[in-house]
Amino acid sequence: MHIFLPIANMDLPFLAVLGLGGVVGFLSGLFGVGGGFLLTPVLLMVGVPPAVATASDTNQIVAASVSGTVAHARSGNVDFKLGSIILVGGLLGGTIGTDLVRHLRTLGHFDFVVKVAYVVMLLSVGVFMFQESLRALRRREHALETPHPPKWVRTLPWRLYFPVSGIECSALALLLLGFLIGMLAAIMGVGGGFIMLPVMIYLLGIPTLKAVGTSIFTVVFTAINVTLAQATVNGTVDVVLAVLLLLGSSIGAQLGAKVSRRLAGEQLRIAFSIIVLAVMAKMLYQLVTPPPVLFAFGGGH
Amino acid sequence: MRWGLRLLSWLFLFLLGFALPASALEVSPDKVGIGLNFAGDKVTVTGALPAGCNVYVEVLSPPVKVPVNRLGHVGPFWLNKQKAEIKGVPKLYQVYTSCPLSQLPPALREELEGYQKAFRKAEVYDTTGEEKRLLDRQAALPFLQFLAQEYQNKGLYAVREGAVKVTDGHFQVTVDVPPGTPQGEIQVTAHFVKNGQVVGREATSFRVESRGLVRWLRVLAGTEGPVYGGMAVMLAIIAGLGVGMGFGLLDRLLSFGIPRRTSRA
Repeated sequence: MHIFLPIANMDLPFLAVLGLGGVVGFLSGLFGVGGGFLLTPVLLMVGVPPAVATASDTNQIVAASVSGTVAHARSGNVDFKLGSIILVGGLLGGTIGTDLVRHLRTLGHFDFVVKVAYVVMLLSVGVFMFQESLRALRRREHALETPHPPKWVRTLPWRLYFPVSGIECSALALLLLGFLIGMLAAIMGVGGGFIMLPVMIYLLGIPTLKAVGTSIFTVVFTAINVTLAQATVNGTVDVVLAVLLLLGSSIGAQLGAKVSRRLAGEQLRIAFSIIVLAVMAKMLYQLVTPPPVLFAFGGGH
Repeated sequence: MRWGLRLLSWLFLFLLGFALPASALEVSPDKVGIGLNFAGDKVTVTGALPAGCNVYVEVLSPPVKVPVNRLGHVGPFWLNKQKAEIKGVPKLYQVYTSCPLSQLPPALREELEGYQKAFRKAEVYDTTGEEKRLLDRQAALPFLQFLAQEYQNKGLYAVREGAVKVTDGHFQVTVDVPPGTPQGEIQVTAHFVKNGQVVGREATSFRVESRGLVRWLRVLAGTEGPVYGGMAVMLAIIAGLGVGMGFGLLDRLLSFGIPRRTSRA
């Protein structure tokens, strides 16, 4: 059975869209990421115009992240206080990032710089997390569940205690993390979960499961912000596509959160690092392989 | 004198009336509605065929604006190197003939090659830099060829040789209206060809328009962006909360009050 998408102006198989949402939602619940890195390329592959794919994808991330937040909050894994400070930084970073994008575009090769930076970043994060988690898994008996934050992070000012995460952390570090994620969201058009999770775990010393739950809580607000902006400025949010995706994704997010509760921190980190490396490999392959067609419909990020 | 003039007028109108219905085009249905279950439709075009003529039927939608990127080398990498905006190109362009293409006028055959006829009013702008720049025909051609190929793959562009059926001085053709067809008035023109020359034309149109929920959403998205965005966000939050709470309830029912295992990390 097919369903017509009013803004994309095309039809798609109903069950396939639901299933796709389910897979993305599962990853969202499991790792605390938005899932746009996976969904947008698949939507493009089935012929959804780029601008509609990115905007509608963000809309469904709202549902997946709300559902994931509810699931993680039930297990006490969302640190709302910590997440709110990151959000404030994110708003600042997003605003400045938008202006920066305008400036960078005038310098030329903006897409090149962004894509190469993205690949390098994913490679570094993926390799680091993979090695660290592997080491932790091998020495499980002796290793701590959560890595220690580096010394310089522990010396930053405005230290606050976060009872949910069970850590004492600098509010300045959280603001800076939020700022970085906001900038990334504006420049690269990604939610920033890929960066947020490793930074929370390794730099701030937040336990893995709390980091996943808090990360997905902050994604709710980033996604709402982008959805409203896309609907207002570009009119490219396809609500029918988004509703189908989000029905699948909000169920998938619950299942993902359930699975994440059964995994140990190291297992979760190693699985996440494998996905990060897979996405990096896919991006690198696309960058260096001559495309079959030298043209593509524009309009996305 | 006045009666004489009236008589002449009636006679003229009678003859005209006799001539016109015989060659007028008819489309059925004259309105195609796009609802949530729309997966394409078909419109039948019928008309009278002048004696000894072949016919080709041209179907054309209003033009739409399309952004297209061109990839190129930047060092060892393949990236978007040029951004363009194509204007003045119909999104639907189909030609149906009653005869082999070889019997059509040579100039028309040339124009149908690569759908050049659809690109008569095309304008391609380079939008890579700060200012838009109109590309010349040569530079614009690869963008238009890409567009034609994509539209052909989606069934929006087609040349169907021999698809028009002719019986007893009448012709009939079934026109495809694929899901990507833009809304608006779709022009249908029948060109009558005799001895390699176009000897007459008849034109009509049918309308493609959205209905029901599709129409409401399109209008809202186009005119009230913030309201539409707010609605999209609310739907997402409600769905997320609903599913979240539903699963919570399910968890409680299945656990029968047994406390949850604490997380390990």
